Amino acid sequence: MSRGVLIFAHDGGFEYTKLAEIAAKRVKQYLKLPITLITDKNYKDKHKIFDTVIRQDITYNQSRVLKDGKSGFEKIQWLNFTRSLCYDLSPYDETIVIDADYMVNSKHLLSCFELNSDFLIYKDSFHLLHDSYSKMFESINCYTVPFFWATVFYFKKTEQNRLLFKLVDFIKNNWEYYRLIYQISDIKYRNDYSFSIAINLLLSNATVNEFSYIPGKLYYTTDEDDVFNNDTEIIFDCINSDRALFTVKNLDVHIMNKHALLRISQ
Amino acid sequence: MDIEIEKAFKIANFMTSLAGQRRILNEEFEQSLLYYYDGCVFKATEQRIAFISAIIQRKIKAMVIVDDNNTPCNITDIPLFYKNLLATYVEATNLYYNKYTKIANSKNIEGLLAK
Repeated sequence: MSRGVLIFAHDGGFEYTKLAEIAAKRVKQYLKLPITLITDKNYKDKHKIFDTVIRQDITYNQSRVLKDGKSGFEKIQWLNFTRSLCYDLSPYDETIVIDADYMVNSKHLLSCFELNSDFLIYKDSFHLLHDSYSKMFESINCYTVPFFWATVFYFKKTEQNRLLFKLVDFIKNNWEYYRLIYQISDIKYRNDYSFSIAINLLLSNATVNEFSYIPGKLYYTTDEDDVFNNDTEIIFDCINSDRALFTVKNLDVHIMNKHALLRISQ
Repeated sequence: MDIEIEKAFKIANFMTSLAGQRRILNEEFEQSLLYYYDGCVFKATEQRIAFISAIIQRKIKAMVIVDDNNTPCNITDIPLFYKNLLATYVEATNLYYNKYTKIANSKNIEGLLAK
């Protein structure tokens, strides 16, 4: 059984592929797994960081505002439409998919291979600096449809998973319809939403809590938080305070301030 | 700004950093308590360790135990399972204690962030 990590990075006004390189180095360091990058046709892997590079064209386009801590924000293209294709694109039997801004800081994700599950995803999350944020990610709307993080997930190539990704793709292609049906106020397409809806459709509400999760929580900081160090540990600056600093070791973190990640890696 | 007020803000920032660092350490500890056995996951809690210890005292060598995801797991070697579960707990708590002591003794933010 082949195992590996899949990272998606499409440059659209922002160098997501640079983020993917940073993420890949950490995957090599902690997980020691082969890495495949799904990207645009223009990308060149100059430093031979990735084991495989797969070119995948983007047919959709949308934009988003990306904050940079307290210093400002930028409107960028957000090309996040290929995630639903990962079943077909992955060259591995067992795949861990991570966002380009997911910084692996431990061997924790290897536990996915230890569990008797074909599909694992994070449901619980934890903002490293504020308790109040995590409630935002409990459900996808004002009702009770649980929120699942498409930032990191694990899957085996099984028939059930093939159908799950097919469903995610269908939801993506009919996003306006599903957004209205599920009363999601956010107009932008987010993979978290389509995965959450697909899981919700596949399982009844009664059994959704029986779904298999990656053990533990998804740790994250928002794009309003700053990052100062990205060596073997990560140091954060909290937005609500000028000098409140935190350091993280041994926890994988989804760092949404992409500008800061690029800044400290240069 | 008044020097005293500036000092008060400095202390407030330190206290915020300290509280945040404790939260993060606690999360790290919770994650390191997880023990994986035969496709199942068990959190090495005091309750679970005591339960397995009671099973061993009754000289039971193998038994089905329900894991943290409500999956029944056939433990074929209970003494070995106990040994590993306890080792996970001891290692996690020792690490937690060492890190916690280090930050508790810190007098400023620089001390909290020191490697």
